[in-house]
Amino acid sequence: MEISNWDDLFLKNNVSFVVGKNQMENFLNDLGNEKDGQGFIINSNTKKRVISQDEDEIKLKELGSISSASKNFIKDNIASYAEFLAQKRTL
Amino acid sequence: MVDPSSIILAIKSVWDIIKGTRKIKKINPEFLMNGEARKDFMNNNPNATIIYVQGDCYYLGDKSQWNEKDKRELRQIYNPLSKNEKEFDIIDVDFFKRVQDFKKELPDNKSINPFLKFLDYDLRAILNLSIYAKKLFDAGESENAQKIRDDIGKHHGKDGRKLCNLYLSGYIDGMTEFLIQEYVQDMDKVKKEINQKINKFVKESDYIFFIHQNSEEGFILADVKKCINQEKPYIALHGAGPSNIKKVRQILNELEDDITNKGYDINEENKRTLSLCPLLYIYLTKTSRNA
Repeated sequence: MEISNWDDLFLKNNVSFVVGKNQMENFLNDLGNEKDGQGFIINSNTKKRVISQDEDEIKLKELGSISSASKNFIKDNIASYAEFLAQKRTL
Repeated sequence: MVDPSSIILAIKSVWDIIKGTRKIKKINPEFLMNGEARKDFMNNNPNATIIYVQGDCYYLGDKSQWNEKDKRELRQIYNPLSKNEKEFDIIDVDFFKRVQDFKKELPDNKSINPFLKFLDYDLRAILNLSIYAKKLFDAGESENAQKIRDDIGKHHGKDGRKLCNLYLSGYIDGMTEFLIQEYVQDMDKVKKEINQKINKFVKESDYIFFIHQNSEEGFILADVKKCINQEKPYIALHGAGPSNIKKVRQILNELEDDITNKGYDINEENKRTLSLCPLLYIYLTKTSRNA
């Protein structure tokens, strides 16, 4: 199916929004997260810091990817992403 | 190679059509590869969003035109409680390129090491990255390869880095070939035991030393000396590149008397990677004659 608008896109699978740091924050807000005063990503409702694939708190500036399947916050470290693929997708 | 100014002109012409609308249009992937053009355009147009649909192509859309339904769709896809199995990534533009380059290598990796599919997820991730790092080293892309090795170290710690080094030096391929020979009639046994064997090997390989740029010569020297005094039957030192090879040589010089007194044979292998980086492998062995 030809993609011609945003509605078409959400019918697709295997989609990446390839973004700069500013847009990353915008998407983060859409997902119900924000950054706290120290730059860490928090849940906007609970104000608790989220835990990344590294099982650690994560700053927005360290964020490489937010991936579906339980909202995974992955640092910009290829080993973290590879582990995520091996655990949740296909590797 | 496409001229950067023509890439910018092309992307601007697409942006002029879709800006302020809900339309999405295809763009030339070259735009993503050209860092300067991309940064310039994205800084000046913060709502411009690049979209990659796997197996299809690259698109450009205006994120400011998202409505509440779009945001609900996104939250649903990311909701851990939903049964939605769609694979979406919101990914940093520089990181995206690294991820895509890595993903491209995965099918080939499976043919290089047939055991990958039987490994636990952490070992599978490390070995896939190690195979990829070796390809980069062989292609002369040492900086990118080194970054992968560093990332493994940051995420998986000392054991992860060691497993990567063991792979790069041929130990893991050697082990899998040995297992295939040993258990040729019983591949199910290999599948069952491979994880345990690799973990055990990493834990017990304190007598294999990889000299890298951050290696403190004094610490390595003390550790090798300890192994010699404990009369380990096999001790190996691996160095890649002229400065690390120099460190290996200096360590050997310092330990010359200990090596002789404890009756070790020294075997040396001088190799080169496909990109002609020199490698030095030193093996200290105690044969039955001098054991």
